Amino acid sequence: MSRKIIFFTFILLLLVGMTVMAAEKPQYGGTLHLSNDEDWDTLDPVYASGFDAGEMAVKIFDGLVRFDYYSNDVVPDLAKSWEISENNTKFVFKLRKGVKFHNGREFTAEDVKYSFDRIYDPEVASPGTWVFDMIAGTDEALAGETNGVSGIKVLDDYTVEFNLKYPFGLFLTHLTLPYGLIVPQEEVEKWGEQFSQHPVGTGPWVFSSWEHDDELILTANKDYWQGRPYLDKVVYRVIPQPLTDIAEFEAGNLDYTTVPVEERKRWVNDEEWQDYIHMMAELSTYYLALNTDYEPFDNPKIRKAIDYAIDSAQITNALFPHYVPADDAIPEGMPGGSPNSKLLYDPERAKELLAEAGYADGFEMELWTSTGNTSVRIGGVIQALLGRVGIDVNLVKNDWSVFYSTVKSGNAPAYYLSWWADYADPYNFLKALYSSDGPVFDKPVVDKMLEEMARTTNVEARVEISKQIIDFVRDTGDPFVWLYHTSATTIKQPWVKGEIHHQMYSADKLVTWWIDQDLK
Amino acid sequence: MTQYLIRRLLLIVPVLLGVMLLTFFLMYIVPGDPVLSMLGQHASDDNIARLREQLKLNRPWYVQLFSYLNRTIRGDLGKSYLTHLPVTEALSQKLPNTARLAVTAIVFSTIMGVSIGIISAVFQNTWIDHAAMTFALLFISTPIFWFGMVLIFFFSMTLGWFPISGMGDGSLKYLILPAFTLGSRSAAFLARYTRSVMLEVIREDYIRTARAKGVKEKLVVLKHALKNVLIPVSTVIGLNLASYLNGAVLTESIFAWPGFGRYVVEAIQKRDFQVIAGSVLVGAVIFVLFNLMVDMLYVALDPRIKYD
Repeated sequence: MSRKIIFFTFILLLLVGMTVMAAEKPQYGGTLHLSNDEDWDTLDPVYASGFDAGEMAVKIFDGLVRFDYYSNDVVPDLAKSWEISENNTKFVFKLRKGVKFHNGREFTAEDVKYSFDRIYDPEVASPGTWVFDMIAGTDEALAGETNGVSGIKVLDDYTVEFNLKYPFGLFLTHLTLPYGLIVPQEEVEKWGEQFSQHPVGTGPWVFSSWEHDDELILTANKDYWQGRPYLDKVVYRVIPQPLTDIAEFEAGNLDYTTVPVEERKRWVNDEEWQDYIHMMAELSTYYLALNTDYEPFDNPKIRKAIDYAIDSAQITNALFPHYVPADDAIPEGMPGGSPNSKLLYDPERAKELLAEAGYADGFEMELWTSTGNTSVRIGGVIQALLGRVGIDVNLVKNDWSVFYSTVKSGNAPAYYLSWWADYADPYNFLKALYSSDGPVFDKPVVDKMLEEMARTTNVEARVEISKQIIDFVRDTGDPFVWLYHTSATTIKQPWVKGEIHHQMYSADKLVTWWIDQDLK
Repeated sequence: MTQYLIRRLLLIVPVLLGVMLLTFFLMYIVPGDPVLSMLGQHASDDNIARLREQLKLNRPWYVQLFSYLNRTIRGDLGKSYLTHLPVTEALSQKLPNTARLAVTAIVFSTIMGVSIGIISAVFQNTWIDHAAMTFALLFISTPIFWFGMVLIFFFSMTLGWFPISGMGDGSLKYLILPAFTLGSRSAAFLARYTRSVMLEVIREDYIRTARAKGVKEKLVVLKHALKNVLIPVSTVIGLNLASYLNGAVLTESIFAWPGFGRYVVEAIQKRDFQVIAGSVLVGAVIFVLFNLMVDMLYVALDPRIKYD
């Protein structure tokens, strides 16, 4: 009897398991409806400076390498393998054979050479020249002295060589950026500056149509070298207002979207939707910067006092409970943060430090923010917190362009800003924030450590140097007060399946998404 | 009349030249430039300088001004620094969308506003008048953003009568809610304005004479009074239409309507100079032409008005 029960239970479980597995087997077909809050500036990789443009370009074009769909690792894309030699200065890529552009022409090494030469053509005026400026010959090409980048050589139809000016361990990671996507010369020359309206790549999605500020449609590339995407079509709508966007989702007209901050509570607490809501840490860091060219911020004690006076945990919990308070530059979920970093808040210690620095009665300071809602709110909170220790903050609020140009020209003594990762490596954060080129900091020691960090391909070594930089800067008076790291709350319809969450904006090619037609 | 028209058309030239100069110098002196938008967070000193040079943004102001005037006079409004699309091409896509929205909103606001204003004036100090004017005040005071969201919630999400946003296949159902939102304040304002003009007109001697001659009240209002009311009211309608054509940013934004207003505001935020200059110029042309049309309309509405 008991054997029979066990046997039938086993069969039943097997059947249930098989049914579940069958149900979860990706299905082909269907149209995915997505949205974006603004129109894409361009679909031409050479001009794809913004996250939105880059995010779209990677769906139409491929690069030599890309981010893995399931992690932040760099994996082969159009290059099937590579060899690195001469102390990280020579990269030879073996390319895939039989890959075709959407116009039917086969992709070769000449396309790689052409795409990179194009970035450094002074007539093109690409904003992406900083990305590959470690390649030999880029300066000469940009100056118009050479026709093309001398450091890039086509060895044969399926082999291309990159020679660098100096060892750069993150070269492969830089190749994941959308500027490194490969374009066909004949199409670029045929369309000229209108190539953005008629993009042709080798990617999983073929450009179909684009009504600016309204709708962009992609169709599946049935001949994609990795195998066609599960979906047939993707329709993107441009919906600037988050409340309109979530209303479209609620009405079932969108399959996936971001939950607006003001609507978050309602959706997160709704039992019906709980299984379909996803929260993901974003690779971002928001901070208050103190410009060390200005008095009294040139005094490390003053910088420390301000750090002690600002309670990042309280700011985060009060304004954005789903964000993470920041204790250093490196976001959650990314290696490189220092174990010695701690959230500091001690107004009494702040007052002591102010007195030691000769500012016992406090001082007046300007804090620059943009007129965005969040910026103004954060500015107000910082003003109140610093007021408690005797620092009188004048908030200077300006529209984004005025604010940002003031910050970049070094004319803002203190400002509230953020850094968003181009790729998931601490070097990207530390180089931007702490190098001498940066607007607020000048430390040759840190520059040297950053140089060392850039040279090595060894991730562990880079992480170790990252920790050292963070500790060194903290001990010598960090010019940044770290506030928080953001997260995105997204929601999907029950029928949307597959690996749909990607931390890096350039990692999602929409080839892992599928629609369960039975649930729709 | 013809002479007057020619004179007015010729006057457009210095007006537009003034607009062009003003726009150029305003853009030249305000901080920020498109290079910062293009480079985003990677705007280091080197990158900014290089790109400014490549885009010829670092030439002296008089060279830039000459180039701008020379190009514009030949009908070339330039290309967006960010999208690399010709401004005329973008405007030819956005303006028809905004025109559809603006014209529908004006038709709605005129019909509603003028009718309610006349009824209020005819039934002055009755409950009809009080109710109409209270509603008008309510619509004038309601923020557009909130009103649009309420309409979406009620008519799209609850009743399902209209789509939430976008232009869809271009059918009328996509136009109703945005046009209603855009026209509501204008309708309310027109109702109050029409009422006050009507109250003045029905006290005029010629209306008293018409009544004394035994003309029916309906005819007095619709034939004798309305024609005289329409002269000042048409000025307001004309200017409203010109203003809507120059962009209805909030309405376009709430209903994801791909129009002129959103296009210009985004360009201003990103300091896309060519787009701003081209759009302001086209906006000025619309305003000047509508002003002229309203002036011409006076002649048709009131035979006493002569321009020669």
